[in-house]
Amino acid sequence: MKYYSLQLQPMQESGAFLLRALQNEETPLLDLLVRESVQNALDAGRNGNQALPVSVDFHIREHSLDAIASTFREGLDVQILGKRYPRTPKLLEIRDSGTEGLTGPMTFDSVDANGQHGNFLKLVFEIGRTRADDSAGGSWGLGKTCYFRMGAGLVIYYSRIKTADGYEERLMASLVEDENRVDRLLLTTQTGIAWWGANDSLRAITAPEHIHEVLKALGAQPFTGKATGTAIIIPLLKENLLPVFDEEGGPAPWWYSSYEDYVNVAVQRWFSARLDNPFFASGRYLSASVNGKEIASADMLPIFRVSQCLYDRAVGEAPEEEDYLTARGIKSNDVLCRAIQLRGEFVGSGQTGWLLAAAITPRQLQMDAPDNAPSPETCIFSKIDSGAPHRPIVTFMRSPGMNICWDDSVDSRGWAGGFTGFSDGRYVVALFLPDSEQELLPSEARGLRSTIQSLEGYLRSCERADHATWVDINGGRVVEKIRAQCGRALKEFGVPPQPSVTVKPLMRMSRKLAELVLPSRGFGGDGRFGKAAPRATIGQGSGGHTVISPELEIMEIRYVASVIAMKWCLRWGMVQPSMPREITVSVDSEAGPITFDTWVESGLGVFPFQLESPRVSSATPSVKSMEVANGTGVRLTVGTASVQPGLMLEGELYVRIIESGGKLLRPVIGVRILDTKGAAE
Amino acid sequence: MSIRLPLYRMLNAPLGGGSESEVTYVFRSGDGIDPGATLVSVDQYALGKDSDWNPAEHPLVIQCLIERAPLLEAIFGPQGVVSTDAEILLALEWASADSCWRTLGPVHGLRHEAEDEDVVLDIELEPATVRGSGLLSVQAFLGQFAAEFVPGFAHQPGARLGLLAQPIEIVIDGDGSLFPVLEESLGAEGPLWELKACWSDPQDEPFSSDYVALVLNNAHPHFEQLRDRRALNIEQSPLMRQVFAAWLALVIAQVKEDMGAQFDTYLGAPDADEGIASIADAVRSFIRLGDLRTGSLPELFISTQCWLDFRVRELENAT
Repeated sequence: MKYYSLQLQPMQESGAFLLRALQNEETPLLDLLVRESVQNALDAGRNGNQALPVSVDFHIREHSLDAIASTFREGLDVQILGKRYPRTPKLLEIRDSGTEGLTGPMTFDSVDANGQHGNFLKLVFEIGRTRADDSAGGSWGLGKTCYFRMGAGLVIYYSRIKTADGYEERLMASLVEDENRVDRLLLTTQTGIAWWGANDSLRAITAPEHIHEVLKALGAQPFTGKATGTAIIIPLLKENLLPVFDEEGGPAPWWYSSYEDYVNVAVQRWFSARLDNPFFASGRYLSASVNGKEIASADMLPIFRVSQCLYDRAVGEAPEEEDYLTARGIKSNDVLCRAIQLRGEFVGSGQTGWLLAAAITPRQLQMDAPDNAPSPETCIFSKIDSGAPHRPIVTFMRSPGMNICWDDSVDSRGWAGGFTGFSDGRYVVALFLPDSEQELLPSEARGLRSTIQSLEGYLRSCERADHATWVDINGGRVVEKIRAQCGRALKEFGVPPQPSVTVKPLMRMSRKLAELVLPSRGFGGDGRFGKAAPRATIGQGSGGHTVISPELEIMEIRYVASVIAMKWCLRWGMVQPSMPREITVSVDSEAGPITFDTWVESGLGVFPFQLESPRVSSATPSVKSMEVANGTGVRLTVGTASVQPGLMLEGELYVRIIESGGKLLRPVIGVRILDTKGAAE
Repeated sequence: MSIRLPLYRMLNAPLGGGSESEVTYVFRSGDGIDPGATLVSVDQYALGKDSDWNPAEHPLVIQCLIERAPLLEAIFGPQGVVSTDAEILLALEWASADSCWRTLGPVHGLRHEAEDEDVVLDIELEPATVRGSGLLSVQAFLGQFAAEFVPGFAHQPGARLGLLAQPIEIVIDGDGSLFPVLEESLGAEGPLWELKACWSDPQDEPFSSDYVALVLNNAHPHFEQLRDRRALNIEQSPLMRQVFAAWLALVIAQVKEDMGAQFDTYLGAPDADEGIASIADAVRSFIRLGDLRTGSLPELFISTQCWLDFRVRELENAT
């Protein structure tokens, strides 16, 4: 393959810089690699068949040094290579299939103005280019630098993509190393950054025979048939990728014996919600394997099964009666399910997310014989169990389903609210799942966007390049409030407040002390100053005197034998002003007024009221009043020229009570608009 | 829109408009506690002024006195609602949407020719049954009616005849500040007072006794010395003032520690104008009103004591 060295230019990154760009020295490298590679695969699989999982296969195997020396002989110092790798080195292949692969242009020259750079350019050539879509797992474009830290810095990218004409294979390699190293592998370099690609220009080789030859030398298989996907091959792995386990308190757990086992557990640790979980709610679920052995949900370590179960319960799709928590005999009062709600942060109402937690005994976590499962602390933090009380462990995630981190802080402002754990030895595991669709109120003052932003987008912007925590943007308090609410709920879950019958408020003292040191209003709900001071309301009141719909007012009532005489006032209203209005009478009832028609249809006999002797006293010209045939309405019409805004008519009308039974019934007077045919609108 | 027409003449609050003495209200409670009612605006009474009355613990008894002469005139007079041979029934009605219930007090029968005494109505509302605000009205009903049907007069016993006076609004809950003080038995050997601080976010949780409180130990031998009933308007003894100053300083210091670097920013921010004031809002208010020095704990204790003494002098001079 042809060697291309990156020349030193103004603002040019160097290999040494890139190796430190992720700024995460505390997370074990294999964990970083699993988080980054699976997240990339899941992002690349977002548009695929939603019914199928995204497959990610990890392969760890030995490879010959000669394969590297021959493939990359141009540009590589073979002597140094031999010295640095006296034993047969290992490679790691991360292969995702069912994903779109490294699509898009292969050179910057072929990118249209404002065109998409595509997966190929982003992964192989670009560093620190942010992603624009809120629901993507990655955001900073720096995660991929962890690949260079796994070995000598050599990374081979192989992909098969679907094109308009069929399929295309692409292969490219890059090497990033500290340019200041004395025993660096690159023969001539100023930057410590180089690529190997096609002969004619800096782009991937696409000739299948050539690609297959390189793959064969590395023991990798090409994608065939209709398969598309990407394989990241990292040869020359370091020999010290396994983190150090402090064995003072006991032997290291089984996954510390090989890279394969460690990767297996790391996938469970970071993708417990999505791994082999068809109930995963926000995308395709993940199917992962290590050296061909699939990681099944049922084979996960108990703590990660619990975590997946909490996720499923938060989503609410999986049947609870068949899930792991139920199977392990965890009772409903040992499970917390709480909606987290924030005041004054969102456009609409509804919860910010769900907090799920479970209190589980070591026995329920299969820590007894014969399973002898390692403790949650060992599985998650790779440390020896500390003994009771065990610190609560909280994880949280965005829609891609990767655990952002596992937090076991007992700080009072932490995720567990200062709850230090149950003294009876039960473990507490909790998960917070945000409602990604919630929309935050725009507020530049609080560090938020000036336009509406989804909670998912905000939380994504709160993550750093390693996605290992959420830190509020300056001025924003969304994460802080979520954490505080989760903390409060978990603390109450752990230490339920005991209502005390002996405690009572000292009201007089409360009022007197408030008068001494507080403003009279605003710090409490006491009624001694009257009702709460009205707050400024947003929006406009109904205001204005011009009525929209017609309104009737009864000004005076007189009672004569079997007749109620009333003076009325009608505000014509601005709705369909040319249409006639009708004053109606109906009978009051528990279910609302009964009209003439309903009365008759219901077989209730003679309608008990009749309108009589309508008289309009207003001086408005061209007003006509007319009794409706059955006596239950008076129709008023006004000439079009006389209909002005604010038109008001006054008059008199009699309500005759037809029979003696009517004296116990109550008439209801109303007004309505008629259409041209005389039917009510 | 629709309007229900009354089938007979009804009262439309004929009393109280011109003369305050026509209808008067007296508020009482059990155990000799005065609910501390004050007329805060036309027809609106607030409860709790200088009072130990607590709606959760104490009943509320309201008595209404109605002058006889104008009452008879309104009911039996030319503009009245019944003829002089009828009997009407009067009762106080409590209706509160906030409390989600309504009720009538005991009924008082009234005839035109009865003895010449003012009418007294009353109603008792049980503890923990009232909240928010409610309306109290004097309702008239038809008791016995004239044998003959008269157009315009009700003739069904129990028919509502309307309101004798404009309803009064009784405000139980508002936005009046309350200092969270609790009384609890912590034992004779226990401390005289303690700080209850169970907030997780002082900026989010309200300044109420659920999250923060001054707890006074009523089993402590010095508990009775906290109150000074001789100092009528102030009521705290010098010991109580010292307790209070220490408590305030402690809360301020703890909130400051909890908020860390945000504390100073928060102090400089304008007051929140929505929702219930938080614990942090209260602390900011103390610091502003008292010009408290939060630089160090000793300075905070000194400035808090001086502020309280100053406020007590101010209130004493005002009386």
